[in-house]
Amino acid sequence: MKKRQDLKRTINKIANEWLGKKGIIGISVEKIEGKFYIIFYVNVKDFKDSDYPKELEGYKVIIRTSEKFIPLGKI
Amino acid sequence: MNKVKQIAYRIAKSFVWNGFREKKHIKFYGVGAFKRKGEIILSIYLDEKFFNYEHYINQLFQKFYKNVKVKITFCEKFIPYMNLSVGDKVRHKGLRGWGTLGGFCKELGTSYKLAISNNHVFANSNNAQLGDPLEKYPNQIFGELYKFIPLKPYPKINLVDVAVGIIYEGYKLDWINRKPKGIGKPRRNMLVYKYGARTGYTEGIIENTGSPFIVNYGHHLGELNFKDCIVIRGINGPFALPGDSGSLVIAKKSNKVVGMIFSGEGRGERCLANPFSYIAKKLKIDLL
Repeated sequence: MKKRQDLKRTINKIANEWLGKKGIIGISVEKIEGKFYIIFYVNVKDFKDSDYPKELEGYKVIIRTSEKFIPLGKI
Repeated sequence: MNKVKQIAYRIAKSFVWNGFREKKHIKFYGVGAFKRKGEIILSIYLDEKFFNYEHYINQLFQKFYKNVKVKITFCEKFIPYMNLSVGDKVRHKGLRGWGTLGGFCKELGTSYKLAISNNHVFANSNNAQLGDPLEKYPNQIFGELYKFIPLKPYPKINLVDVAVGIIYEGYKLDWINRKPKGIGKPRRNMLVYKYGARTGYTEGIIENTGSPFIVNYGHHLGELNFKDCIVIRGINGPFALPGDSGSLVIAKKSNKVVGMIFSGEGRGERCLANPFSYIAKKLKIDLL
């Protein structure tokens, strides 16, 4: 079982390298069926799997398409 | 009785408001009149700090209105009775859109009552001066900007998008049904709720915590880097939409505030919140 601090450090390390590149607008870690995965939130219409790593720091990478995040201060 | 009222009005206009009040610097808050046993009695509401002047004022009245008896009531200053509720539509006066009033806080070490929302709601995304007026929908100035954490341009990292304003005297503060029981830590799969100006009460689930994200603030600030965001998904519809910025995210089970909404996807599938513990630490505030 990975400690929370280890996961946080891993995310920050990956963020430094990948956030803002190739349409990646967010990164998180998610536990799915007992295993931790790195989630890339990607704002690209037709992304290619080959543009992104399959595994990082020992975690498998899952790509999720997302819209751009904007401040929610307007009605 | 109309005649009595007319006298009261005449006295108020000619004597209290225009003459006596200005010259003697004695504060009258109101004047009324009633009739008792055929006698007209003028009722004067006077600031309590002029308690010692009662005899003097009575003498003055007798000089001008010999047949009118005066009853003096000492009172505190009257202030407008207004309401400010969590989820109200609020903004910096210079802003075109509206955001949400998240809740009420106090600054540690002072007695100020503060309203909390985002920097991009109260401080116009860094384009505001401390003391600028804050507005509640439709056009009621309820306070002024007191503090905000400036948003830092890329590649610098932001922790929070937050600002607080001092609430003017006379407002009744309403947490709507449930006052939060303090500040808590967000956890994955935690059930949460919020009151927003756009979508009202909604429930959601925390999908992730501690996530770095890029948020597009438009032409002025561009894309900003945020650390340790809380990712929330709505249950039965969007958790937050444009206009809900500033809403506090509250854990349903513990009723503790865990975050504050600041951004989201346009279609509303996911939204992001800043951890409230960071906000409290940065601004040195606690919930009211």
